[in-house]
Amino acid sequence: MLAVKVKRVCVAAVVALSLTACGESSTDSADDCSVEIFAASSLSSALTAMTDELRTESGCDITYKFGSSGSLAASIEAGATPDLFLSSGTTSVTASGLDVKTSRAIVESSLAIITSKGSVASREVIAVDDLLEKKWKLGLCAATAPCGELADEVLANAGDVFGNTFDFGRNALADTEAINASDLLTKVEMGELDVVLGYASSCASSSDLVCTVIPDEENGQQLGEKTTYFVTPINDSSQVTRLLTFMTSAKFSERLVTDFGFEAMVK
Amino acid sequence: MRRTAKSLIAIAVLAVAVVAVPIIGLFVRVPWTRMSELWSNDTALSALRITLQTSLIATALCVLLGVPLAWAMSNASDKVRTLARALVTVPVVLPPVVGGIALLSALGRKGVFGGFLSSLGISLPFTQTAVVLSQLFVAMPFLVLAVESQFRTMDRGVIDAARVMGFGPFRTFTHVVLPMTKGSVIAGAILAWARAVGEFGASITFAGSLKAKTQTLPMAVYELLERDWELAMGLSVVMVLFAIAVIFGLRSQLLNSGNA
Amino acid sequence: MSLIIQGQIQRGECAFDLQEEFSPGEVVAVVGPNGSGKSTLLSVVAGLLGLAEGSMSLNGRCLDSSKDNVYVEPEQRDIGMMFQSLHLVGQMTVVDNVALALRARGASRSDAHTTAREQLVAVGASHLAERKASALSGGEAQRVALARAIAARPAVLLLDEPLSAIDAASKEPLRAVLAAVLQEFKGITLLVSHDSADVSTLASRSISLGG
Repeated sequence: MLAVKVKRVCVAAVVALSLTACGESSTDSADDCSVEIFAASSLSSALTAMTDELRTESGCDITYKFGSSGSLAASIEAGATPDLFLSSGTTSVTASGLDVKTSRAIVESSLAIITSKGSVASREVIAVDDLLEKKWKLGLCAATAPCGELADEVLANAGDVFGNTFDFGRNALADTEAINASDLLTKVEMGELDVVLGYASSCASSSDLVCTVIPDEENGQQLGEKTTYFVTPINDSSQVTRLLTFMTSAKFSERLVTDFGFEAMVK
Repeated sequence: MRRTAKSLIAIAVLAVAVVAVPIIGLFVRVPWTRMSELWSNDTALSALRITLQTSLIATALCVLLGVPLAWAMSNASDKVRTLARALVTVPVVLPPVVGGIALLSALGRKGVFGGFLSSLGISLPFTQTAVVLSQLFVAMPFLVLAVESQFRTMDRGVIDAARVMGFGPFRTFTHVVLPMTKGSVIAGAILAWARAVGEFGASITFAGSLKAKTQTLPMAVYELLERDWELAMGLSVVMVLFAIAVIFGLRSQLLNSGNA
Repeated sequence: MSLIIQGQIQRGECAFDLQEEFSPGEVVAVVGPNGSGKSTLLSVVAGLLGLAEGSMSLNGRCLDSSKDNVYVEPEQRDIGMMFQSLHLVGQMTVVDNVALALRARGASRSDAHTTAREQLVAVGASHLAERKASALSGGEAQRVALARAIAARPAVLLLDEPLSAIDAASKEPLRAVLAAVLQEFKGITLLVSHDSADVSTLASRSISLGG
């Protein structure tokens, strides 16, 4: 009696299993393809949120690897073969051994002063010269990372605008460095750092952060800087071509601008 | 003569290859001609200085704190010792980055004790003290476990003999037990030092990485990898050579204590 | 001036009574079958174990009294002890081992070494002074352990099977050394041995435990 019962349960389980299996394959993309995207970590929340759209456009499964553009470039150079490379700037495109001529600009992002919502720093650090105060724990992206290069440019500009107080450079100002900005932002959210110079787009994906965009000009001299994001195809398969068309479309950049805090390219 | 089956020798060779192949790969690919650049490379030099500075302080603290702990553990009841040993082993099995998060949660500005420290005007994260604490956290178990096992396997009767000779509990430890176990204290300290030098995960989380302040050799390797992977390889070779030197140092040390 | 024990000593499950007085200059053999508590008695005198009950005093000073809650730690007792398994510090030289007891009592390093070397001469082991204790033969180690136990001229010398674990050939010379050393010694000696030859040649009297 008991044996019969057990058998029936097994049959039911097998049926259930085969049903789910069928269900899965029906929602799967028609062809059995996948697209691997290497992307700067500052794009991670936007891309992750848009995965469904990218899947629809390409007709393929999408997988990501996020990191600093520099380290992603290093792994491409060392033999990694993603399908698309979304980088901040084109330095890393060159470093990865890809052809910059195939790169297309998507959106821009300005460097911003980023603090934690409600913190003392969020009220008192509102301009670049406020960073000179020693009491703030400041985090910068490492000089080798695109966000760090941008920060160095802004600090150099600030030297011209505010005088030589900025000439000590990053080592005199910063309390710590990190290879990517997200590491620093986490520490701002945790309250271990007061201020970070990072991309203005970071605040769109975190309600705990306050971004103050550094103005392009101060006293008639250039101060703020922005980075441009590029998409570079690594092969010419049909799905990559479809995604490239989508990512360079106005629709894609509008989504990034309205929902994720990026800035449209100045045409 | 004992013989090992041929099939097992094949597996053993494979196991050796797992360790040897990456090291050989590193030594083959490293641009030897550029090694001299390391001596004039800012990042490498300041990282070397900071690594030596912090790791030696951390090792000294390891010995100062860890040896008495190991002694107390070796004298404790089985229950207390088992508990203490489990606790001490935690950093060994923990991913170092988790150790860094734990240190931040305890000693960070918003940490459990960090608030109290802040009120005294002390801020630990992103300082060299934080590097030392991270190294201490990950390295101390190596010393404590090595020394404690020596304390337990040494001739414990000597402790009674020392007491009858007229040494109190403290002087028994300093005048008799430590001279007896000097070899394994040194071996444990070398092991802890090597671990401190290689520390990365806990310090990059708790102490950050800032050139000339908190950036140690492993962090410099990681950063150089972004910018100049050839130099990163060069610096890696320096660290491998250091590791080999440590192993040779330990070997003669272990032989000495084996003879004793 | 003497060692007086009036109490109970734990031996396995039960305790046995002991009423003894030991006087300076005498060598008292403690005899009895295995497990009769001979080594336990030495440990109690040394302070490594407490009396189960009763009291013990040395030269009028109370060392152990369960009633008055007195217990003097071993390092405060002025005892010299040669353990059955010797417990030399293998990593130290012979002379450092012998000097330990003197250093413990506050002697300077050089004074301790001078006295230690004299003591090594007395036991016929002066040629071993600079050798590591771990490199000694059984008979040599026994001489060094004896020298260490007596070097500080303690009030009480405890010898736990001092002539065991050596071959018959080495035993005779060592027994002669021990006899000479004890001849000189002014304090109380308690000697545990299972060898009747030791008892008859070395001891002035004997007490029997158990059996």
